[in-house]
Amino acid sequence: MFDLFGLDYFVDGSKRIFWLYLVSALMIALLFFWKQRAILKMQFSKEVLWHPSARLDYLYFGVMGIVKTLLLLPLLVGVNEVALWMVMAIQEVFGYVERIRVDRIWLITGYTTMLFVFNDLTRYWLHRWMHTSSLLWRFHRVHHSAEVLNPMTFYRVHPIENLLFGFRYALTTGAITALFIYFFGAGIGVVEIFGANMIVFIFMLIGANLRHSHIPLHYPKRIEKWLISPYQHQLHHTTRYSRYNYGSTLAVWDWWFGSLLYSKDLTYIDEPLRFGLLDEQPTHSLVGAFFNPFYKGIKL
Amino acid sequence: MTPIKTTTLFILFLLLAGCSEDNNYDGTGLIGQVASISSSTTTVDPIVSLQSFVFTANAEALVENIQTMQKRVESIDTSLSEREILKLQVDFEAIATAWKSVEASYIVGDFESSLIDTPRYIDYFHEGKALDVAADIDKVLNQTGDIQVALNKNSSKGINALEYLAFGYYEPLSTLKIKMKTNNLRRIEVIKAVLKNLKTQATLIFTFYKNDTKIKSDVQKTSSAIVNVLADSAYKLREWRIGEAAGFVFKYKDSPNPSRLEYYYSRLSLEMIKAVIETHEEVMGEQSYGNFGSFASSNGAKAIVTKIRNQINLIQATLDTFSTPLEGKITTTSVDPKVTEIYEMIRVLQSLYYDSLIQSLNLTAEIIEADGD
Ligand SMILES: [Zn+2]
Ligand SMILES: [Zn+2]
Repeated sequence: MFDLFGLDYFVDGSKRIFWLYLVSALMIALLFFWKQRAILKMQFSKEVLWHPSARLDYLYFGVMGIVKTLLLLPLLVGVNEVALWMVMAIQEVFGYVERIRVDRIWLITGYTTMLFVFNDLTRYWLHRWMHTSSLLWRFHRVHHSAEVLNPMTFYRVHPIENLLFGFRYALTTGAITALFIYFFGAGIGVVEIFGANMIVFIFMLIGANLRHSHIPLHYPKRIEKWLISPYQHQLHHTTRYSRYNYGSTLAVWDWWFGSLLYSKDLTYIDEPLRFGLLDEQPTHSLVGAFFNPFYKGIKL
Repeated sequence: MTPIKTTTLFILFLLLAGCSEDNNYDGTGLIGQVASISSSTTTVDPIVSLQSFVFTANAEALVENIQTMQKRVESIDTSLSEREILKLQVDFEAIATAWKSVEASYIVGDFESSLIDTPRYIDYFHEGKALDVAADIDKVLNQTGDIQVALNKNSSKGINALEYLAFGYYEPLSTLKIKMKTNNLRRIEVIKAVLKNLKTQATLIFTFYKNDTKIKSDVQKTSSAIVNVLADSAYKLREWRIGEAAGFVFKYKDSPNPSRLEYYYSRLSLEMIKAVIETHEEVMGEQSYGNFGSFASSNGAKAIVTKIRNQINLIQATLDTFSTPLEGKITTTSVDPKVTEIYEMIRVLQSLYYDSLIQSLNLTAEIIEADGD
């Protein structure tokens, strides 16, 4: 039961809302916005945390725990199966190669880094596709329909989108793993902290949860070129700039593929942003979120 | 800095410092558990016994079998009989079998870089297309000068050369007797030179295994090396030693030819395949001594080890039903279904080794994490 409703997410380092990441996000918010009490007060106000949109986020999270366990997991092709299938296929097509001997420390570092980088890249493209394909947008708009943001909004994602991202993960991780086994053999491994890829861990720790919040933390321009700041993702949640900043952690994909928007490029940065969709009165109902994408309009 | 900022930074620092403790990369496969070995009570005894009962013992057997054949050729003179040639052939089989065992579990290269290439001074199977060991040996035999000078190619001093020297093109003993006596027993002299090289190489391997302490002290590395060598060995077994001859691989699709078998001249390919699988059994199977199978099993990889053991047993049982040499089961026009069957079985074995490795990486954790953002 504990697992079923997603409560284990708070104690699992591979999850976004792991308690430590929430605590560190809070610390960072306090650190940078101590002088701007209004911003902090706003985030913790009833209007934000008990808004119908936020209440849907919480309900959604609880229900999705069950949906994922009972419906999605059995449907997903496992990453292990993909990796195994691919390594056998690569070897059969390209033949045997003499193993490249690399010091274990470099092998693990390389594999950990490649997993992070390529997963971040495929996330970028799938996210972008969720916006550019009108069919996929139907599902992704569930996430964008949130009018207020809090860390749980991260889980406000339609099951179909979850499924697509699951396949994306399996394919990306499976391919990287297969290639590493093919060229380097059994010495590979992931450097993990609390069960999360070490690089992912670091980025989660430095405020990933502020992405879904009203805390306008942004980085200097030269950093926002490389790393998506929380504010840059908040911009993505506005109707006006939703075609920018698709990135999860690295900003380079947005930069290279022309969808990057810097926080400083906006003249009215001090104004609070307005999140959500324009075209309709949001219902913030669970049933609506699950079923509307199958028959409702698709305008942004 | 304000006190609140200082305090916050301090707490952040503590959080970060606390995290570095839990740094690991272990999982549920053959290798993963081993990562935590230093901090747990897991014994490395199985690795120690694997090293002495399998690695060292097989290398020692190889050295001894070479010495046995050396003794026999030393005693040969012009009164050479067919019976003696037959004994030489039996000696060859013993050497080749021992070598296949050493080769199938050769992890030395991971611990001693000067010995990475040692197998290449012994075995030339699948080493370069243009290589025709038999033709090279014939050239040496037809010359009259110094043998060491004539044997200028390393490949002429390997085990494949020895096979051709002892069996010709699988020729009758009577023919071989004539050939052996030709040119002042030159063929026997060449055999001596080949054996000398083989003994040098085999002794290097044996000495390493006998004196090494690195294998047991770095079990993480040893585990990787073992999974690598077993997966490689299974791959080469099915693709090179069976698939290419049977026309199962891309390169020779549907054009089987038994002459591509590894020990075609001696018709011993089946015995050698059995030797390779037996080595897998020695390393992974249920044995009276501790081995890698028992080691991985007691470190949490029991399920996959059981699967591997069952697969090895299945392959062995199937190989035992082969009544004729493999060379008789593959012709240029047909392949015995049993060959196909064994090929597929070894494929499964290889995928189990990879599977164990992939499982140990623990990749499934974040698969369903909603990462739409
Ligand atoms: Zn989006
Ligand atoms: Zn978002």
